[in-house]
Amino acid sequence: MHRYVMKRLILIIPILLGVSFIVFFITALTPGDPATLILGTGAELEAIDALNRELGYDKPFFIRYARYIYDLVVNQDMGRSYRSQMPVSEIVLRRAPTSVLIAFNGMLCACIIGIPLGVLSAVKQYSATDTMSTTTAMFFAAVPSFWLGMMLMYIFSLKLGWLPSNGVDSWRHYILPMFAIGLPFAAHQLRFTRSTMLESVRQDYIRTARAKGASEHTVIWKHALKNALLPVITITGINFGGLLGGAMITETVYSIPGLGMLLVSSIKMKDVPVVMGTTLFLAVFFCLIMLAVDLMYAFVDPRIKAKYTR
Amino acid sequence: MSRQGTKLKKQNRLKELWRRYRKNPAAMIGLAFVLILIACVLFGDVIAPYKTATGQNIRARLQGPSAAHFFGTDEFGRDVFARVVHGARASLALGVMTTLVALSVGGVLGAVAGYFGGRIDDIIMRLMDVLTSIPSLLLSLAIVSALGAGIRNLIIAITISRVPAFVRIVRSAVLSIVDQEFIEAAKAGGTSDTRIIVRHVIPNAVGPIIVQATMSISMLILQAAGLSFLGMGVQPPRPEWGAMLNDAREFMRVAPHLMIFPGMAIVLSALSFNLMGDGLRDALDPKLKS
Repeated sequence: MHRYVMKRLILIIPILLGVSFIVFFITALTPGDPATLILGTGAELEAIDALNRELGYDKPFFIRYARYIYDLVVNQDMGRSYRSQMPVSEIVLRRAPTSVLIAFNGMLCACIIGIPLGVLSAVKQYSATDTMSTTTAMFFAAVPSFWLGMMLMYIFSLKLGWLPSNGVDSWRHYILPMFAIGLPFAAHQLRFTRSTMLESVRQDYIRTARAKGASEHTVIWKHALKNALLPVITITGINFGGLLGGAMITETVYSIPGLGMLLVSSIKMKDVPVVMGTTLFLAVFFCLIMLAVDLMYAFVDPRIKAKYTR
Repeated sequence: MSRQGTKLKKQNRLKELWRRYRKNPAAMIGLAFVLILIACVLFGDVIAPYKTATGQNIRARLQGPSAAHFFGTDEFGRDVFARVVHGARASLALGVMTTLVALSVGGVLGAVAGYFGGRIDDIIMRLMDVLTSIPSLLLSLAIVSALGAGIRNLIIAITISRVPAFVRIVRSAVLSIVDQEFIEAAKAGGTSDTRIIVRHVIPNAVGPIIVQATMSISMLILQAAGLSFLGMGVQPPRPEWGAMLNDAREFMRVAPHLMIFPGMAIVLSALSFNLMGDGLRDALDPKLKS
């Protein structure tokens, strides 16, 4: 098991190199130079040139990239923001917990609503419950989370005044974003759980479980769900990536000072070090989630656990 | 088989597909709405003149829905109904174009990876791994910011972020086919690889790919709307649903209709492509129907 985890952790390195290269390349295509950004367009040309040289911006692309990676690996330095001159790592780490918390809440909301309802509508296929939950899911799967966020804000903050509309001062601020991000994903989760469960309940071992007299509850929640869970876990992990993306826009709707707002504003202002830092953080986070997903397989499925320990 | 025979067989297959698709009411509703969307694109000016969608009329600003303005007016007095109708063009173009381009690029890469396997497969798939570990919205955001906002650059950006998904879909569809006997037979008969891929592998893999492509249109409509919402997509005064929603934020309290109608348009178009995809899947493979 340890060896497998180590191997997977090492495999993250080439992925991060790839991600950093792609983003570095894209940002290098962007017109403009850092010194003009820092000093402003009104600054003297000599000063701009001097600062660009100091930042290494006069060097060719590959040398700049190599230097970035060298600083990152050897000095653990992600550079400083062009705008605020603060260390990038500090900016990113300060904002990351909010974003992670929001994405995690959304995921939790999606799983708590989506998985049980998916199981229920598979077990009671063609019933009123099934029709209702699949129809609702169909609708929510087509709803963009930022629009849902706006509608929720309109109804629950502006009209009813039950919940605050923006910021992150208390736990109540997290409720609306949680549903705005979570509900569309709950819909995906429901549809997916339903279809894998439908396959699972038709298997021979379910008939065997019923034949040996296990209660319906045990048959569905222990035998059928446990076997259907593997693909559900995979899709949950993959969705988490999309959820982080969706959270970026929803953060804008609710003015939440997280990575999403940071990234959007940094991209608009061409603050390359911050863009790089945020992207790398998100990529590491995503890779770790995918690793966690694979490790969760082992807990759900003893056959896979056996494969890992070999 | 003669060429005419093959043609006849294809026609029959399409007829059979349509017969099964027709039986599904949800899928028909989806199809009907997609046709309405296409009508909005083709006959937008007949339904509501483009001038009312972009022409400003300050005296009529922020009015609620009425007989004169079905969906009300926005902060510049522009007719929201006309803007929603003309916004269909941008959304549909983005959804369909990006899907088609991503499908062609991803399809070729996926077919090559799945068919040849080995090192080529490894290289392509690891590259895709890298692309997928950047959240797709972030990737397209970065690309748009490098290329500059605008509808063409948005198409490029969304396409690149969507290619990996199609590579995977096509590859797995191809993988399930290459081991079958008729491929082996074709190889043994000395058919070239390209011909096998084009004539034997792709036609047999096309069902699930069409279904995924239809679903992808709805996903990309949502993504494009999201990017425009952030101000990275279609530029004003051209109407686009995501950008309209962003403008609506300021007037949420006084003019909620500004966010309700464009939002419903996004939801309905994404929903109808999903319904169509579901219907196609069931019609293509009745066994899968759940």
